[in-house]
Amino acid sequence: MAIDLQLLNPILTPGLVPQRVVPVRFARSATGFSDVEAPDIDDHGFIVTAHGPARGPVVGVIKDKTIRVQVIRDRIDEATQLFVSTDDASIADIIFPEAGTALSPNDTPAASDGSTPERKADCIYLKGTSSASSTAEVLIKVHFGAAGGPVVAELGVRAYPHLTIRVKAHSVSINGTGPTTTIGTVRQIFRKVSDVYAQAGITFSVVGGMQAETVTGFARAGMVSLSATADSQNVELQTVLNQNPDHNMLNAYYFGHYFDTVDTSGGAAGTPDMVLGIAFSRRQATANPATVGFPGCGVGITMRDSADINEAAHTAAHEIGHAMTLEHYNNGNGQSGVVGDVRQDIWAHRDLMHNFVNLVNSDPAVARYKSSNARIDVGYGNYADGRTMTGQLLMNKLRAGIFQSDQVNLVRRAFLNNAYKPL
Amino acid sequence: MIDVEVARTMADLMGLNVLTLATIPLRFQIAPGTAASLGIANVDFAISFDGSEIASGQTTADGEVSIPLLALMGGSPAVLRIFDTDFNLTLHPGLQAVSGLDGRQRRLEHLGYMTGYQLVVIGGDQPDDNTDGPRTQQAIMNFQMDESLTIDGDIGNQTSGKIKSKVGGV
Repeated sequence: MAIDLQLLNPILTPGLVPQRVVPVRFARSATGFSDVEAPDIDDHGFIVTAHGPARGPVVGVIKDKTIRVQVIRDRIDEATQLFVSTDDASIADIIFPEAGTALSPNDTPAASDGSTPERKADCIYLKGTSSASSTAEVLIKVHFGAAGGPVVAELGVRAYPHLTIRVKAHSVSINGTGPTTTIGTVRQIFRKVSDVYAQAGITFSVVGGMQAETVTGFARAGMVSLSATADSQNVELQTVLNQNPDHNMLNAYYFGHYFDTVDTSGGAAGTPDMVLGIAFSRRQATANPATVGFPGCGVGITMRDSADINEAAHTAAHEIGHAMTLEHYNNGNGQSGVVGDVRQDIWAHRDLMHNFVNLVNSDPAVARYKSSNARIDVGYGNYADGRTMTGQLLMNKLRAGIFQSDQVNLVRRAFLNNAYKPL
Repeated sequence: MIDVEVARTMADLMGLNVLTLATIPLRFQIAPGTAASLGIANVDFAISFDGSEIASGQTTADGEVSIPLLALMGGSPAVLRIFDTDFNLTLHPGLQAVSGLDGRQRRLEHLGYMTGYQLVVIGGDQPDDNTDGPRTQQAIMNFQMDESLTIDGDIGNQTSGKIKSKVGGV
């Protein structure tokens, strides 16, 4: 099918630069919640000079894992033969299409004898092959017409050495009331969290069962009351985080509910369950040591019960980001909890560290919806109650002008610095 | 501009006159923008008009094809065949002010930022591109990123000025 293209008349509009046409682009190859096989790609701008030679988007991959990336025929015919190559198969190899075979614009069904799996139309299947102890980079190239034909698109690939974070789950009974979350649920949650962090080469492993913790004397049974504006100074919250932390693991504390006494939108006494989770890294713990009447800021994540596994997993992934030193994806200053400063553009909604794990149902005309005339549903799916999910871990590129733009690398650095382990 | 060899109609029929025709440059690139070394070089192309081929060759090192302006001034579109793809080429009626939606979308398309597809999978009921919808916002942000501007997805004075200057013209 022919593509219509309008050109500006340089006689009527003197001084024009040549018009550009980009025939081929890349996109995520799936919709819905994070999928270890179909990661979102970092497309924050096109020219990458700070990290690698990529002139396009970047995607992350772990050794021995296969991912797929969608090739978009933006200005090129469906029947045009496109071939794919890797600059270094020892970093990331092309699993499909096979060498010398063009991308197929149609799905390729699995072989009836099970010898080959289904392959999706116009998708590149990449396998991480790097054995290097540090991050390796490689370019994937799309060629026109032949395996050695002109390059029409480039995709940067970061191959990350595999890291494992061990998780200790705690079940906190408050004034005699414990959470409903079970160890089975926790394992489900962290399998999904591992899908989110596959982009960074990180897997989470829940060790043992849930450790029972008991606290008493809290203001409300089964609830952690938040009474200070700074969560790092909330006594009940920090009391929970100080319950028998394992110093070699990420500690995840589960209890029934939060009760926010600072936020009175739910009533004069406060608001229950406005908060889904709260977390702290070593840096915050160091800055908030124990004093008389205050146990000191702990390191780890706290989570309330949630009947929705996607909400619980998405929240845990976001809170782990905080424990790994990441801050909210705001307008460049990383302020947390300042609603008026929340970015509401398409990149913010795609970011795991967006302030909210769902799109807040508010009037898009109010001032806090900076940069966007709409709350843009970025296709990560919906919670059980229909709310639209935000954010995945996708930021591989280091780009000036975006706060914490290479979150993947920051998280990996935090792992090496033990940022998520108690002091 | 391209040179077209035209047979003389008088006297020496073995000789040739040379007419210089205005052309429109079109660059095929691996990524949007005006940065160097993005061009897709050495790709065969052919341009036809009313069923007759009027020019052919390969893209330059910059990925450029020169489209004869005259071929776009008839009633039917000229056809550029490149990448085994036919492009129906017509003239755009003219640039609108960058402050307007059509003006900024047209300029972002001129620089390769405006896509034909929504690269991010958009769910739900979203505004279409009669507004600054998702495709336009993504194009603006990628432009701002590449040009080291404040990245907010908005067309403010700084961004609109930069878009205008990068595209050139009025």
